[in-house]
Amino acid sequence: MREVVVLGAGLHRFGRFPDKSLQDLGREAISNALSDSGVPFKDIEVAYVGRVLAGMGAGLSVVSEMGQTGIPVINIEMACGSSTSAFREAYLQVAHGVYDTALVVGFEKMQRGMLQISEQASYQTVMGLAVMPASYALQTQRYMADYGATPEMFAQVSVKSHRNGAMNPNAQYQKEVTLEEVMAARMIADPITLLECSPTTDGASAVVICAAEKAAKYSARRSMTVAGWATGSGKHEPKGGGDGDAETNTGEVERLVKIAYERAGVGPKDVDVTQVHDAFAPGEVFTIEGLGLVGKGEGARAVWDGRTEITGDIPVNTDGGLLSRGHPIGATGAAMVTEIFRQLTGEAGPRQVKGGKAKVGLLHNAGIGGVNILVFTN
Amino acid sequence: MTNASAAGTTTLKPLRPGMFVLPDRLDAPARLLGGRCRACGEMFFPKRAYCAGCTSGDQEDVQFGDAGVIETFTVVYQQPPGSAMVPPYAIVRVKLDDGPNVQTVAANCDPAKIRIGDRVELIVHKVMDDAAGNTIVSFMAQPAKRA
Repeated sequence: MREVVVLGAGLHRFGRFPDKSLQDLGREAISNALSDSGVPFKDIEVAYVGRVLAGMGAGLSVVSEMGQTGIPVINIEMACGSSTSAFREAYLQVAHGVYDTALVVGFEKMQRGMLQISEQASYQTVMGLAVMPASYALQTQRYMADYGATPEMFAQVSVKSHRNGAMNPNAQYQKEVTLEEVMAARMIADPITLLECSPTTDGASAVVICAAEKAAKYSARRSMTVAGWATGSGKHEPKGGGDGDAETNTGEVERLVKIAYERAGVGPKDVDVTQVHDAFAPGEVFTIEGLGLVGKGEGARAVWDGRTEITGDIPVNTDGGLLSRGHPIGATGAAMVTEIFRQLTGEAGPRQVKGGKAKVGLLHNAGIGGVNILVFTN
Repeated sequence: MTNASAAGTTTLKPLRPGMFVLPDRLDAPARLLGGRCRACGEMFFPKRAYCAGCTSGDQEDVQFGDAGVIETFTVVYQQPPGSAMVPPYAIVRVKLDDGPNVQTVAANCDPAKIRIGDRVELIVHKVMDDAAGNTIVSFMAQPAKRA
């Protein structure tokens, strides 16, 4: 397989844009990524598009805004992990020499309120069991009982994420919140309050990748290498462990990250900056454990002690994460890649970790359709 | 509740057929209809055509007992779309004594008093009435009355 590099990335700001179409959002993200990469759209050979709620053929209707060059436009859906799935498919095509350049796009426009995650008439929906924050809350209650963690420790994830979001001009929420505000917010699923839930969001993201051996012809100022990947769909855990879905299955994260570390030739101690899927605040706690960044049962304490802050030893979700950057489900994965790119190229400004010397970035994006892990190096 | 269902006649209708043995009265013990893999012994609710663990298609039908223990729980305060439950209500994950983990809602108790490790029993409880006046029921968990 050939080495593949990310040459550029771009976003349309995340937020609520009722007057903008998917095409408006996508065009801006793609245009930003292309100019960031130095690759003109006419040189893009294939586009992979992560999107969930839009109608059929939505990928082409957005990508063709940039020109009708006749390239294949592939629509990918893996719920909240859609655009990292799009990224992985694009990466594998370029790595195997099918294409030299590829565009990865994610976009979404969402309604306010809770997502309906199961079929309308399923018994889980009618009985009020198909509730995403409740899936996280069930795991959180068990975690608190097992390890003596407190609701405040989980709430601190939200405090940290909002602090980072306040430094991100592309974030949906750019305002800090206090621990007291998070704890006093409306309870959604005990102990998860409203400020520990990611919002629904409109937004778009795009990334340009290229075979490393072909990258010199573009005026790219810098790049990062796609070093490792792993994907899974929630392996069955025997003896009653099968209730958790792929998104909240920490065992699946442990299984997959081993594969990704091995492919990348790095381990958890090498990781300088991490993006995790914090659809709900406890997600950060469970996932940093699953990724091996901290030991089992140490995640809540690590957050509480500030270790996942930008200034900490394991900075996580430096752009505000899903909680604060926002979570336009199809666009989230490529936005995670975008933040890792900014961090590894030293362009993250006030959010920059490790004095611009970050070498290894780790990414975890999960949905009810599965889990994607990516490792990047520079 | 209609007079017919209060009297224990056949107007009880399962929310989804095939999940449990339909009793003749509300709040009777719920015997879940699950499956067991003959190849590896793994148990499932609802039952599956192929084992999620070993992928064998050699599955047998099993009726699980109604007793179990709360593995974890949460109390939901926001109305989810499409649900007949009225918040606040508790979701519990129950490890059945002779079966797998099952997830359901708590009935006949104060959600604030639920704790991990509590003994519970599954019952067939009312979810809602349908337009034809039937009582739609499903399995729920209530605090164990037996020691």
